[in-house]
Amino acid sequence: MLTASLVCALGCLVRYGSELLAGTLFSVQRLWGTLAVNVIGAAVVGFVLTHTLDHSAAIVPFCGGLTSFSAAFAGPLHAWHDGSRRSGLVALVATPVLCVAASAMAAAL
Amino acid sequence: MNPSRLRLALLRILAVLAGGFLGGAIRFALTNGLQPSWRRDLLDAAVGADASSAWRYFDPWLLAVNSIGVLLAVWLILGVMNGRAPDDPWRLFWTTGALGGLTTYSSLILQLGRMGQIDTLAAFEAGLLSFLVASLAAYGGWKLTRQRGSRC
Repeated sequence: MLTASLVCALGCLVRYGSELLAGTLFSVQRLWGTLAVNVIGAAVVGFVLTHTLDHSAAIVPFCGGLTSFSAAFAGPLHAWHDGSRRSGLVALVATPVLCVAASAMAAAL
Repeated sequence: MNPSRLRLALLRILAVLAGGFLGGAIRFALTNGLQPSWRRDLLDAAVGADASSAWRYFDPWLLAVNSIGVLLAVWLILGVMNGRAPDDPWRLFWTTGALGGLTTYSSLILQLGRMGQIDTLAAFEAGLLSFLVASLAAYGGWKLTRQRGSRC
């Protein structure tokens, strides 16, 4: 559990990095960085679920930290609260749709 | 980079790592290690004796930690920590780290994928349930910010 928690913490750090990149490099709101890592994490676990037998591999806790359910809700609500209502709504709805699609596509590879 | 900015950057990284470790440890303890014996009994009672039921892969603890995480994140971001900058170390510790590590989209997708391999409709229902409960939790977090009279 200790190792899994450490790997999970690294995933959180990568998510933070992607949120910073979204804000500084691509000049978009951070919630798009969160959406991107959620979709990537979903695709990875979709691939793992189908193509490997070891579902306890280190990549699973890493994706647990990389992806965030709370940020996928709180980020869009914060954007809505700050006046970016369309961005908030699109991100909130797009996240589960894209995550399921990415996971299914990765599983079908 | 001047020393004070470097210190601040390191502090932010440490805040995310420490929070992520804490949140991840709590989630792993709840979903893997510290499962009470009545949990499986409760699930058995809910899905019946059908060993092939897709709902056997449904994890109520994951639904619970994800929903509690959403409630706390909304309460913190829109309420208690609303005035703090997104890169404030305490905000990073609690929201990006602890709650980000506690909650997860990938495990939910993994669970739905396993359910979907048996019963697509059950996987859809479980996904919808997770989304609806989390929406209620988000509403609860928002109501909490209003009750506290915070800047929301």
